[in-house]
Amino acid sequence: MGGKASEAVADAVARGMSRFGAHPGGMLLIAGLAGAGVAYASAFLAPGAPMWAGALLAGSAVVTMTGAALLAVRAGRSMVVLGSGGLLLALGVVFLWTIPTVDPAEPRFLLGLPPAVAYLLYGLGLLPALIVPFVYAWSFERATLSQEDLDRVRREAAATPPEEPDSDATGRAG
Amino acid sequence: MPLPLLQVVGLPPFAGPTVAGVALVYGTGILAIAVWAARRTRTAADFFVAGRGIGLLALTLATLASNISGFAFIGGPGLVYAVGLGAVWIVLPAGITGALGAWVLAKRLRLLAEVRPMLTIPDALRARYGSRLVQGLAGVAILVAIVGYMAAQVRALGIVTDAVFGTGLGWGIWLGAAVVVAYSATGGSLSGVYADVFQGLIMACASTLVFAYVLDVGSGLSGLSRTILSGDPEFLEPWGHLPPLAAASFFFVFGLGVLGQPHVLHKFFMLKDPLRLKWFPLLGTLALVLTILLFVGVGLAVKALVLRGELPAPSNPDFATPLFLLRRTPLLLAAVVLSGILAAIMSTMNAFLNVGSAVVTHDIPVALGRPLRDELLWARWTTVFLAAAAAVAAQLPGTLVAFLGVFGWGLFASTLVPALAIGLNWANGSRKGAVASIVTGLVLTLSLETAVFLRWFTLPAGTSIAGMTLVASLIVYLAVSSLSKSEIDPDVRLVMEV
Repeated sequence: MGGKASEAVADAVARGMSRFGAHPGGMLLIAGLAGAGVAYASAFLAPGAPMWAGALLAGSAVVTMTGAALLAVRAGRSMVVLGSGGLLLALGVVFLWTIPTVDPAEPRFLLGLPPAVAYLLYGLGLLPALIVPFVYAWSFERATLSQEDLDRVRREAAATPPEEPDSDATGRAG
Repeated sequence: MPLPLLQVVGLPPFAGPTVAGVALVYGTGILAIAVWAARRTRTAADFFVAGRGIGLLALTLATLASNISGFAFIGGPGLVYAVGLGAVWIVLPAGITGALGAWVLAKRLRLLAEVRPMLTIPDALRARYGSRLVQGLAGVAILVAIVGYMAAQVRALGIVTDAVFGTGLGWGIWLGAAVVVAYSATGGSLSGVYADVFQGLIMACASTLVFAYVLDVGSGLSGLSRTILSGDPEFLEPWGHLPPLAAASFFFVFGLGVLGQPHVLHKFFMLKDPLRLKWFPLLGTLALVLTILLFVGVGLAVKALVLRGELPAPSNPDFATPLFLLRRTPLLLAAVVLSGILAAIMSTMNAFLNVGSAVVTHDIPVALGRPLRDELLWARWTTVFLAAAAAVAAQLPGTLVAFLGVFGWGLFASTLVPALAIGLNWANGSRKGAVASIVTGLVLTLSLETAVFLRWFTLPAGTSIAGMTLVASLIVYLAVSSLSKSEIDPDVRLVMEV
């Protein structure tokens, strides 16, 4: 009996996760959460979190955010651009951990900052700020919302009888 | 990043005619907006979602002002001064969070307002899951988070008001709260949004000007870097004095957590034309990056100036910004930045009051099946009551107020991100999954934060309760949804498909 129940649960989990995981966004979300979970767990298992835990968590954060964004955009070229951009940024974040610290006796600077810090602030902070909003605008009609989409939703709203008002705050947008 | 202003002691006094004069001009501007908005607020929809008629610029600056609290101007630079560049990981996701929020939630939330009456984020959850229980639970989670946040914000307001006008902390709290109530209770989100526009502009301009002074006094970034490297090289490592895991935790929580901040997200309901969302991330990111220049710059500058012996070491890290302003910038600029700090605190507080009163007068009564008849009247009185309650709570010992404020962001994130951000983009997310994830986030955040605050146990260095509970509630949502069935109304399904 217990064996059958656990099989049923395992089967349901497998079916559910395969439904979710079949989507690239779902796969990245699960991978990101797994990475974040391992990073946090490592802090409990070892005396002090290992150095790689920070890199894993930071990379996982980008992977999770990319997964969430991919779930929201339509399949197509935009999804490929967004997915590969997100993975590139995740690798870029992890790469930070490989940059050696600067020698205070003979400091080298990149745009006024030690190389690792310049990479952090300009490469991981500023550069995405210069690119990602443009990617959003560039792909907006194709991946997010077009006039036809809006018209379709408005037609549906007009065709559907308004639900019973539950407050005096009735009325829709538009 | 509406972190509470974590300081628990007073600021050095700023009181003087210039500073007080600029603050009075600023306060008068805010009250004028309140009077204008009060005349245009006739329904609960006007009060809670600004009549759904705002434009892109107003949306951008309103979300910026609600998102940035006093922490970005005082607590944040103080944290950079204290722990080095590890604190910068809090604002590092700023380049992507605008677009992330727009991709994942802006369109869905705005389109939901096309097909259903939408006032609040719990309204959106009820539409998605067809469940009043989900709406009620989300409302309770939001209210719990807001109570703590508000107390910390009101206390911060009292501290700054005291520093500007020399009122004393107690009167500073009541005076600051009274100004916010005056424009929140009369004009609701309509006055809140247009006050936010005014406040957001002040914040972005003040931050940019201060950064120019940072570069000037530090002999450029390389001058700052040389000084700091010679005195405290670890400060200028990518995670500063923090464990790398702690810095990465900031990045994880503040990156993903933006998808669960109701006081910011509900502003998407207010946008008049959904197609204008196309330029929202671009404008929003620009404004945010300008506003956080002060966060990064002042901490670095004060550290370098202290190491050079040109500035006394602040007795409390939160004094870094006031010290820099008073000693290194013209008095008029210091006065404008002070107004910027007041603006940041007030706009965040206004947003919380608006969301909190919506929970009390709309979400919870609707969830209980007993909607109120005159929501607008009740909303106004609830706003006054919530502000008064926060002002009373703000008089508690400072460490307790700081504790109340600390868990707000994490609680929002762990209770709302799974059901809202994932749920609106994944048709298999189920009502049971939503309930389980909200309860998980609520129980874990409250119990762990309380246990750590009371020192029943300590967490390993670098771990974050907000980060761990966010991971846990997301996993619970996915797992429970996978084991249960999802039902979505056709109009909501269409919103999720387009």
